[in-house]
Amino acid sequence: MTDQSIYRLEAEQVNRDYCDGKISLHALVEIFERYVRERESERASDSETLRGAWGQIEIMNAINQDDPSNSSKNESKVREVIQEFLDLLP
Amino acid sequence: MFARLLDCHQWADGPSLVTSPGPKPTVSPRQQAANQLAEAHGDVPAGFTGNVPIPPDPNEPDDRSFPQKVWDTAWGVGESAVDTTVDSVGTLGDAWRNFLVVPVHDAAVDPFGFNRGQRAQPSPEHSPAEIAAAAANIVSLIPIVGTGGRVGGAAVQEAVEAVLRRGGTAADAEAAGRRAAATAGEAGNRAPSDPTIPVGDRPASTPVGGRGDREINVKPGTNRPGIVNGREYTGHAFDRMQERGILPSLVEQAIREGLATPSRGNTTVIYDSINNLSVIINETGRVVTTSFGNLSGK
Repeated sequence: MTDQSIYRLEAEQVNRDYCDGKISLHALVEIFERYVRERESERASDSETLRGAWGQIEIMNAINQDDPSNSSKNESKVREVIQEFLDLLP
Repeated sequence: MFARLLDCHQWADGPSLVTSPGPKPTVSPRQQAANQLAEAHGDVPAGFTGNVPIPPDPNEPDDRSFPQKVWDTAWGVGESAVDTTVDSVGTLGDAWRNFLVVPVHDAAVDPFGFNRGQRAQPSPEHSPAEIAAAAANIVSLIPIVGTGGRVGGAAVQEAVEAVLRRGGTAADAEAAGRRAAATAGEAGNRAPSDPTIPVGDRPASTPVGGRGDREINVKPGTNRPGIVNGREYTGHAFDRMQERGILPSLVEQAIREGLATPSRGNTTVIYDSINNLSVIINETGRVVTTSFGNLSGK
């Protein structure tokens, strides 16, 4: 198994943990950013795209933290941006 | 000789050109007393007819506007910040602390009065929100905040705001805040990271991170929302800025010069390629988060 596929497997597990309520969106954002950083340190060609996709999750995280009352309303968008990020992982 | 010639010239041209100083203009009794005292002590040359400088009368009503008072005393906050910074070089992000006082002392472009009369004047009257923001900045200079939990933090903030509202100086406000913090008891000496202190009441005198490997972990909710230089920030934005060492000046520069791209949740990503910084603002211009890198996806 390559390092790259490990990223994806781990990220999908993290996503499942989030969907199961085991971790917060903030924790997911932190973990996913580590993947982005690793790709950036590897100077991978997809690192900018990954950073942009991660940014979308961070934006939803920021919005939810600013106004937690709307977080359930935003949940479908959150899932959407997480999936977009996962799809970009090698 | 020259004076004598001048005298002759004056008389020759007639009395209309005599440069007599005339009667002294009416001055206040306090000024008059100061003039007499200076003359008696020989502090002024013989024949001096002007007014000697006197300090402001503490009993006179102070008719300066509140912003003018803040302006006049702004440098006091700067000094206070410097003192505090010296005490905490090893522990605090000095830049973080310094920018927190910017709304109060940023205007002190001429703290030593070298160019009196050329200083820009503070423009609008300070709103309650600005007073609250200034008070929050001053409170952040006080290491013991949050004593007795949320009530303690609120008490300190209240004490500082009360002084500012009645036109007191920033230094007075800080002193009042320190007194309020001290009276809350020994418990106030707990470390800022003490988990028994509600996160919202912890002072900003916590470490600040930097870019890359120097980032630190800031727990969500560590900072409260606030206003810096008239711009609103969410608590999350402050958390991110603190952990990544992003200063409000960088945020402002990004907003001024960056490339704006609409994004999810009615937000706009503004990317500043010079600093490789993304600032995300909502529809009202409030900063919701910040990050290094391009988050616009473009």
